[in-house]
Order: sequence, then structure tokens, then C-alpha cells
Amino acid sequence: VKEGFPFVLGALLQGVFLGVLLFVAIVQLYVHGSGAQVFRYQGF
Amino acid sequence: VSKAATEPNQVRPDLEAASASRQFLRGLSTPSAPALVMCLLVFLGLHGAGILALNEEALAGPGLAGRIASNPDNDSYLWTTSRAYAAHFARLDTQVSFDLVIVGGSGHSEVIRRDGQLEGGLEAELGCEVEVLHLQGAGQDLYESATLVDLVGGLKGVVLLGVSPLRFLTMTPKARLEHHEGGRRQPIAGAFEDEERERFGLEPLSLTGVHYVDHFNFYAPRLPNLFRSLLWLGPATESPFYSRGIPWPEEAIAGAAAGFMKTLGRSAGGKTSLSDSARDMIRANLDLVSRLSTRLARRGESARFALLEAPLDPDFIENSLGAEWYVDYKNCVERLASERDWPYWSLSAEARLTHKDFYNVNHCYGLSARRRFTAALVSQLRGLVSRQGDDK
Repeated sequence: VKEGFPFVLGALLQGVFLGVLLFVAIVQLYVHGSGAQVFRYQGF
Repeated sequence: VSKAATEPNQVRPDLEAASASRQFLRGLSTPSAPALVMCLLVFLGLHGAGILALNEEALAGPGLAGRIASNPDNDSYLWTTSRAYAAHFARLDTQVSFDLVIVGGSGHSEVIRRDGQLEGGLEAELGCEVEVLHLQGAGQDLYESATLVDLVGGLKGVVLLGVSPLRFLTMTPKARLEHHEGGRRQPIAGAFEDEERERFGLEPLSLTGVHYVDHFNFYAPRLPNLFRSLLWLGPATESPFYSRGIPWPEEAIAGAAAGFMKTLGRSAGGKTSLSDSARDMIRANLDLVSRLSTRLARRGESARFALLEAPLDPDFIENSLGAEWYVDYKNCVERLASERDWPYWSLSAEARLTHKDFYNVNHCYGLSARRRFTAALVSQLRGLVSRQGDDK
């Protein structure tokens, strides 16, 4: 079935949404990945 | 007979609209190739923009960019400095022994006069010749200070160690910040620090850290440079953070201080105090100096350590760092110094330093301010240097 312009528009919007979500998720995981410790000091 | 029946090929407008919105919703909710492609494009675009926005070298302006470009990592900068000093010391007359060695950063370097006021003042007070060695340098961290002092032979007097929140708490993270690759989290310690710690008999540091400055506030003033580089408008202009003599914009100071406090402060009940990790950083630095002191004693050198707090703009302390945080910081340093029997001096009050004396938050260069600060330092050192003299 040939999809029309509205379908493509919806798909692109879905892509934008998912792309931003993916970026934010990865950044959050990266920054706060290990317990959100700012400094971790383990002694001498 | 209706009109629609007579024209079977024409779709009714309301049905067409309903079908369009259904298609749109279907596009929005079902996985499809255009959605996947768009998702990847948006992700890569954001990632690229993030890398560009975190590219210190391109955005910092000639001051920092030059330093990074010529020093691919901070270690080589430290080695160059310390080896140059080592070569210098190797040529010195070995009979020379120093009554006073001063190490510190640019804040100390600029506020302590090197034109003879310090030496003259001490000589007048003590009635004998005093040999002073100035080893303060811009951006010098406590590891560099320890290494430099270790290189000096003939220490019989006082080692004056310049300290400040910046030197204790941000210089080592800064070392990593200078050669991170777009990431925010980096280990705090480089090969130089590890080697030095090993040489002083300490285990390598096991620290990880997040860039100590709040990203948005730190990079926002650099956005014009980002646009310049994107539009090929020529080289980046000097960043307000690194330019000399130009007052920092208030909002940039507030932003940087907010990021600083986020890392080093802990808020409770409307008050901000020093965070536990910040206390650990101070202790780690002072442990290194303790080892240096033991090492010098083993070498037969009778050096006494004293800590000198760098002056900070009182307005900056009041409005950005927070007076409570600063008091907490000073109490912490004082306690750790007294554990080691080291005097700790903060001379801003004695030197009557005011906001007008500072050209940015941690540097004052006016002759009058330097005179007052150096005089206050002479009166503090008088007791210590003469005490050292009596011990001999």
C-alpha cells in the first residue's frame, strides 16, 4: 500500500521524538552511570 | 439522488481529512523506515552538536586553546616546568640554602611582591640576610608545588605553600578537563600525578569526577565563538574566562560559581557547606605535602611548612561562593593543617583587601594591595622564620 504524505510526516515526527529521547537517555546514563557521584575518593 | 452518488470518483472532504489524520497517527505510532532514519539523523545531529559544544580547544579562545595545543596533556606542561627548574637548581651553588621557599599559583604570584619588600622586611625584622626563593607560577597545582620543593636542595627555613579552594579542589580535575575528548566524566589523576604519588610513597589516586563547572553556564558565554567557528568568521575571540584585566561578566561568575558549588558544596536548610568529597580532596593534597615534609626531613633538611590562603574577592565570596561555605572551607583546612602542626594564614583581613583591589575574582595586582598583603605576610613570617632560626 502506498503511504501518503501524512503518514511520512507522522513517521518523521516519531523519528525526531525517538532521536531526542535516545540522546537524552544515553547522556543521562553516561553522566550519572555510576551512582551520580561527583567525586569518589577511595583512600590511600 | 445525492451529488456524491452522481460523482463516484470524488472523495468527500470530511472523509479525506479523517483518513489523513489516521495516516498521520499511524505514521506517528508504527515503526517505519522514515522514522528510523529520522531518529538516527536527530541522534547524530545532537551528538555532533554536543561534541562541538564541548570542544574546549575550539571555543576557549586563544588563551586556553594555545595552552592546550602546545601541551597535549597537562603532564607535559608540568614536566617541562619542573625539569626547567631542575636544570636551574643543578647549576645553583650547592652551598646556597634558602630561608624561605614560596610555592603557589598566579593568585599568590601576583599578590606577593618580588621587588625586595618581602626580603627587606624580613631582614629588617630579623637583623640578618634572608634568602628567598619564589617558585609561584600560574596554574601550578599542589602536585607541581610538591615536585618543585622536592627539587630544591638546602632547605633550612620555611616552605610557604600557597593554597586556595581553586588549588585544592579544581586544579587536578582541570588537568583532565584540558584533554578530555568530549566526555564529561574523567578520572582525576594523570600519569604525572600517579608517578609523583608513587615517588612520595602514596598509592595512585582513585578518583573519578565530573567537569566541575555547570555546562550551560560555563559554555554560554562561549557561544559567540561557536558561531564564529561555524560561519568561518575568523579565529575565536578571547574568552571572558581567560582574559587578563577584563572583569568577568557577573552572570558568568554566578554561573561558574553555581557549577563550582554544585560539585563542592552541600546544601542543607538553606546553608551551603563544604561537601565530603571536597574535604577528601583537601586531605589528599595535604597528605602529599606531609609525605614531602617527611622526605625532606629524611634528607636532613630542616624545613617547616606553612599554608598561605590566596586572597579572593570578598564580593565573590559573599555573593557567589557563599560566606558559610568559605568559613567551612577555611575551618577544614585549618583543622587538617593543625593536625600536622602547620600554621595556616589567611591575610585578606590584615591586608584590608576590598573588592576594588581585585581585577577578577582571585587576582589582585594593584601596588597598594600588594604592599599591604606583603607587609601582612612579613609580620606572620617574622615569628616563624625567627623560631626556625632559634632552633638551629
